[in-house]
Amino acid sequence: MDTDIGAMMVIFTEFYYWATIPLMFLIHVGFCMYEVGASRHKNHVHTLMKNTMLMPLVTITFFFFGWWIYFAFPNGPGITGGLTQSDNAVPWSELMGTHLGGATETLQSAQGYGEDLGNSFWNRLNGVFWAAFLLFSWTAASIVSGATIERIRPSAFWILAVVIGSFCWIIDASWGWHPDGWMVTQLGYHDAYASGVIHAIAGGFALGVVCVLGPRIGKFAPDGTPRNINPHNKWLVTIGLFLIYVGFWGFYVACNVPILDHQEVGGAEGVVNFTATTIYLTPTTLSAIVFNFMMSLSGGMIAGYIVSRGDAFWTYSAGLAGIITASAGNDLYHPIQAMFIGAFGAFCAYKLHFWVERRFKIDDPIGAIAVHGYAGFIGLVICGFMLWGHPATAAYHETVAVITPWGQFLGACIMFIVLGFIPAFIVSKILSMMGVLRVPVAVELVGLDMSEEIAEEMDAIAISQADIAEAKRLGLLT
Amino acid sequence: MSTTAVETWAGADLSQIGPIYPMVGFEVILFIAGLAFWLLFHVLQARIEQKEFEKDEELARSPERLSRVFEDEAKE
Repeated sequence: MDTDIGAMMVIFTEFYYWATIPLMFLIHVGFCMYEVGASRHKNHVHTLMKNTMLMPLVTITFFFFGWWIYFAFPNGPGITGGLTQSDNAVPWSELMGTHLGGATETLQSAQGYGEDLGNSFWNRLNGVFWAAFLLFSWTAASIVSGATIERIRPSAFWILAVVIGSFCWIIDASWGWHPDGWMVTQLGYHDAYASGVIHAIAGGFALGVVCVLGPRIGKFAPDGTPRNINPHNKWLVTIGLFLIYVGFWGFYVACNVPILDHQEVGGAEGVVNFTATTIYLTPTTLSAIVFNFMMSLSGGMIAGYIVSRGDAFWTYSAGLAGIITASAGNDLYHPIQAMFIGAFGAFCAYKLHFWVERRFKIDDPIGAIAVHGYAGFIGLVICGFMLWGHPATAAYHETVAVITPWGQFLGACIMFIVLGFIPAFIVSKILSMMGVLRVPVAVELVGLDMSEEIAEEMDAIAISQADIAEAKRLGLLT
Repeated sequence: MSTTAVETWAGADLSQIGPIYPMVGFEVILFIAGLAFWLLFHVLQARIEQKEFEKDEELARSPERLSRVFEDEAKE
């Protein structure tokens, strides 16, 4: 901040991340609308509140410990080293509040991004960077929410939401979405726009919960044939999915670092090379992600339309699956490659959803496990083949780790199974054994909103009686 | 007198000013209070939810109410 260009970079970056936050809010609006539209009338309010309340709960816990995990865990800890210092991110740090950059001792131990800028960098960017990551946390938890509608207890879901939103996903971000994360430096893991670090983990986590939770009553016939429980309001679902598309723009942009001089992160010395980079500090451009976002969305929608025979719900969802499949390498793919990768991922997600449903009796009401989990997993593996040999690490790393199919496959397994499925299964099992995971059968049958509906009926009757009494008093009614 | 470190902006050198929120130095206590607030929510919410489900279960014993729910469901 003590030079004009330094100040411009910091303030531009501050504004850039800030702008991504309201855009990503729309993802959550979309998820809420989508879930309510997909649920039956008798469960609307609970479905809405289940998703809505994850916002404050994940927010405060992400402040309390999620942000610290991102900076403290790149080495495992215990895989390539111990905990790394993360003084800017502990909840009692002065930099976790309104701070003007001076007076506090410069945090040498909390350098990371903006190494040369010290406090001046973190006092401006800590909050906006935190919030951008927080919105990813909401998305991860919200994906799980969709898979569990109409039968999970909100109290249980909110515990699970904190586990994925402020713990599991941010560990995976620290491992595989941090320029110094051990998965990046040791496996050559590359996941520029979060096929794995958000989508595969959330899909795996949702699968772990749903395996314990079981299907909704009536979902499967006695012979095991799945029944369709169709969306209550298709238009709400449509607008919800459109809003998720819109929010994805913010999601993508927030995955980049908007401006830095490449020589500062190990590029050619003495040559000023300002560029946007991925989260790994490897160069890319906004144009690259705009091309590839649109083309992978289109590939997914086209494949989804064909494979689902024009089903509206699956065409929209396939668009998301297309983006999610291509996201791992969308900083580098050619747009036509992104289109075909998106189409392939959407096709696989659709087929896998129905195969898993029939074979394992998994009730995933909105296809969240398929669209996020399977598509994300497949996208990581495809990225390993497509970008084989490309450097995964930023220029300042002495040893270059390169992208490989096996590194990506292992990374996909870590995301989907190790940090997604397993923790979800364990926590859900514990909640289930305590009898607090699933709503009582009678409540599920009568609907989770029954008390609210009765209260509303009683309110309406009371108002109606008051109106009748007033009409009688005025002589309008005898 | 100010609850923050700033009493005037006149002549202030921002590069020498750090945190400007009130009660600097009490962050750990704020953190502990925040944690308690979060955990308290889960405890209270679980109690509210349990009572609500008990009421709903009672309502579900009414065949008339149940058949109304199922009829509505069939119309959706």
